[in-house]
Amino acid sequence: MNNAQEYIEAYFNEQLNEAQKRQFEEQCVRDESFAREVAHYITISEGVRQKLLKQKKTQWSGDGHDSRRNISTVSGIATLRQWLPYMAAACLLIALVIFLLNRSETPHKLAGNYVNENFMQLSQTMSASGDSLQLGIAAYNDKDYGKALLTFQKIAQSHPDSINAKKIYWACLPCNKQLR
Amino acid sequence: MQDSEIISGLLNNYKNRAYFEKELYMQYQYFIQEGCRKYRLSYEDSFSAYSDAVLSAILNIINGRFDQRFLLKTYLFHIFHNKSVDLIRKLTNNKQKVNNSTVTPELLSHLPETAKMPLKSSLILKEFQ
Repeated sequence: MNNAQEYIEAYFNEQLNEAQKRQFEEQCVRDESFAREVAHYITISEGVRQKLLKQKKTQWSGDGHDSRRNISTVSGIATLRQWLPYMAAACLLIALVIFLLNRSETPHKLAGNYVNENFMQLSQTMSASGDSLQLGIAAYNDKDYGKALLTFQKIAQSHPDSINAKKIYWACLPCNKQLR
Repeated sequence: MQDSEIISGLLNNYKNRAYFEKELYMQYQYFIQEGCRKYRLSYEDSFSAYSDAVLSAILNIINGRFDQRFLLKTYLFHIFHNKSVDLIRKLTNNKQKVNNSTVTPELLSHLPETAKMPLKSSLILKEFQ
């Protein structure tokens, strides 16, 4: 009996080689009394195991179903850590979009900036002549854009080849808000 | 705590074995929530499967059946997965629902199908003794 018990125990503790294992398994099928002994061993072992498991469950869950709250906290933190890179990437993307949107300017704003930089003052030749172009330029520099616009419009119409007159006329238009 | 410390504590430190068992249990306790989410088990069932898995892992470590080829976490999760699946099968099996006291012995899974058949009838007989 003791030998059989030791043999069965050796099988379940994986102390037998492959050939011995196969022999054991074949004996379970062939020998009914041996099969009953193996079943008896399994039943006893399982009973001991269930008792031990019950004891351990009580021991381990003793600090808690506080452990339930701890697990939720731990798994919550773990989930947050998992999503952190994606959240950071989304924030960067939003910041980039906002930056690009604010950077871009409307055509009107661009034109206005250009005029402010290049056409706030026009160069005037030093001359005592009542040249209408110079009069127009003087009016522009005095910020009398209405008068300047009329002057340059007349010049542009009378001198269609005069590029200067046309340039200055176009420069006056934003100042007179014609483009709006 | 490192895997090696836990394993060493379970194997060599008989006096404080309970401490290392508890450490192992606490270290991967979040598997219980994983079981609830992944296998749609109730908390109690998942806790039961996890405790069973920890106990199996401890027994295997003590009996030298854990060869440290894998991480302890991977090993434990593998056992927990199998326990959860067995529990799901047990819960969905109509026969088991009728007789809730029936427990499938773990040692039976060590045997091949051909060897299980003659044993099952003996086990059923013992159930009614």
